[in-house]
Amino acid sequence: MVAGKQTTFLFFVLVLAVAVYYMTRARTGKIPAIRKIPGLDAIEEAIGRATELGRPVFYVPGRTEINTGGAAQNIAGLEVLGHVARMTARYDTEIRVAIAAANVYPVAEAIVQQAYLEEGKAERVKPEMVQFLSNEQFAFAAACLSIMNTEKTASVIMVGEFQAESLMLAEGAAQAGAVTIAGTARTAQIPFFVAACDYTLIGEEIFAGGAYLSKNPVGIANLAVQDLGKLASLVVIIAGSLMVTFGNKSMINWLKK
Amino acid sequence: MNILKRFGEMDRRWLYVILLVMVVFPLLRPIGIPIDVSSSTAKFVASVDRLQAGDRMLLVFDYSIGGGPDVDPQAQVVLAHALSKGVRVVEVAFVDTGLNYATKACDLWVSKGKVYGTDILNLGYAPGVETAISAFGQNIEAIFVRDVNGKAPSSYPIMEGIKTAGDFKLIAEFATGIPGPAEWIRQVVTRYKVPLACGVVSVMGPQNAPYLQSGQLVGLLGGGLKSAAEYEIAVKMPGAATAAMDAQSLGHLTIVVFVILGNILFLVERREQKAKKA
Amino acid sequence: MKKEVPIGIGFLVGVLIVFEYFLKGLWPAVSKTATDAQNWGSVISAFAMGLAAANLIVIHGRRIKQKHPDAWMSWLLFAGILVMTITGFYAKGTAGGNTFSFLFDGLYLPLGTAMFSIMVFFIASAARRAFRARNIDAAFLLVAGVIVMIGNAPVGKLISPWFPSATSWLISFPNVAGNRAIMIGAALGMVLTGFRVIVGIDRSYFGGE
Repeated sequence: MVAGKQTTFLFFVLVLAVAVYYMTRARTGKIPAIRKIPGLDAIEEAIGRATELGRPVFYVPGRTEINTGGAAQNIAGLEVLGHVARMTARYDTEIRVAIAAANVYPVAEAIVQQAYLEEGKAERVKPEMVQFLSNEQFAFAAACLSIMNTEKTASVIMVGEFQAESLMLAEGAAQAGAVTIAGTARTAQIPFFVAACDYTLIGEEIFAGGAYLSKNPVGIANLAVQDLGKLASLVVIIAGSLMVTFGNKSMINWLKK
Repeated sequence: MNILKRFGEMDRRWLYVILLVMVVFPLLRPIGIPIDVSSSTAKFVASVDRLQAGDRMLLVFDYSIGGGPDVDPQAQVVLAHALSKGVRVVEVAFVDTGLNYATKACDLWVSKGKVYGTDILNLGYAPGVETAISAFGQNIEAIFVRDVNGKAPSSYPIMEGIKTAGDFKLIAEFATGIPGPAEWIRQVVTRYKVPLACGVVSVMGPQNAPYLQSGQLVGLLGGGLKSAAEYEIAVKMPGAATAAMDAQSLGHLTIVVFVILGNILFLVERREQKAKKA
Repeated sequence: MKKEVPIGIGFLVGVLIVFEYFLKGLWPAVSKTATDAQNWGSVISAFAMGLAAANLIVIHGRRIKQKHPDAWMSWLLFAGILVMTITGFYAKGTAGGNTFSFLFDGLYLPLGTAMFSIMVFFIASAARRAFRARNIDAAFLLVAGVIVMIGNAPVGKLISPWFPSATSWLISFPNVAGNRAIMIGAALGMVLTGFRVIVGIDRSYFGGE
């Protein structure tokens, strides 16, 4: 074991063990209850709005590559994309997916094609549905603004990892008259989405997206494990803070092992 | 009240004009607002000051074009400070546009008399973001087989004894997004225990403050251009960043005025609606 | 096999990287294989750019063929790709004085910088439209934002020495606490997402259910 990672490994194994336990329970029908997440509930409304207005839904599954630290957020964004694509296929609503990372493009394309295939609308898929715009940050943002304005998108959904372009996209969507739903776990960009969007998914709510929308029992079980993990972290933080306050550093030393 | 309502209904382009005037004016007629050095900047300065002549420092150009004006002044002043102390600097980039900035900086200092390969070296750009950083940490020459001039890094005196990221005395990384401090902490600091100081755009400053508090960063230029100005003042090398601070001050004040006016209007309208309902 | 092969590869590589992170040094061969796998990831990413470029060419080619009103922009895109590719091949890196360097420094850099600068106008527009104290949470966000904006600029100290101190306190305490909380939650989410992908429960990354 690498020095300094023993405690981390212990927590890692514990989290996975609890995850396996809850997922097994979920398969037998014991599904944990989760609270309402307004941002995710609003997705169906947003797609409904686009359908009524006869205008497209614009989706951005994050901007970073799938082999970076933001991969988990990208995957969360792609999970929500699958759900959104199925709904747009079902309601015959146009969808435009903007991709900024080359290695996300084939994945997003496959997801949209699969979604339309499952809804029996495979013939409606066209290349314009999933477009690689640019991996250059502001070229991508400019292209997104152009699509929002020229195609008069009715709803803009952005879930994934974003950087400085987040405010540009959110405010641009608002100026184009679209309903905006956005979510990211990147703490620097959350305030921009909270301020400028109609609905926001904060932090780990984006990881709940796929499970919440699809009502997949195994996915929902994962959410319960996340909450238990946070509870455990809270206990360790409180216990550790109290111990250090009274001069006992054993918790800190154990965490550093 | 009419003024407020007119402000609320005003074409947003007038707001842009007001903002433009407030930012450009101090560039033409500097005001000279004094600049204080924050503690996080002072820590960064101290981490470079602790280096001795001959020590090797890694300077990472992980910033894109968009954030360049915010972060490039930071990188330039840190590079100038390090070279002025006789510290030897190896440049790398894990963002493609960072290579351009690295090359410009290297060429500038070579033209000022620094010896390429002895005082300063540009290893170039490696794609792959975090996977490349992880591999770089373990074996530098596995990722940078040749420098920008096509020669093996180990053929240069500056790279003598440098095999992994842990062999550097200090790593200074400048980022506008990904990869950023988090990636370097995960892949390099945690594994090799090498001191890392970072410079970032102002919007990333707050999210990286926890790393400075926990000691995973030894210094943080978290205010973008303002941090660059603070560093310039601290090392007595005033430059472009210092000159731009008046414009930043007035720009911030203008935005705050817009926010306050917008909120006063919002409260007034809400009160009027409540009165109408009553 | 269409589903099993990607899941198998994902499982093997995922376990390898996790093993290498925690048990590095135990089996040097594993460390080397993990490093090689990460290098392959970098190479595959570079190849994915070709796929993305093909998509660009298809979409903009169709626009030109269909005589779309904005087809001139598609022509501009193709011209840009060709010019930068050809000059890039003939340039020696970004050494000064050649055409690629001229185009990069004279066109690409200013365009990117200008786009970033345009952000300030979006902030101005959002400041009037959206930064409203609609409820108590928004009011806290607003007040903190105003204090930090003033405190972060040198003029803040001129207005009152309280602003820089308040800014420093806000960033060092409530901000760090909030960031850490979101980081911990997001990290747990990432670990579990990674676990689901590695063991094949989550197959969204190749279009599977």
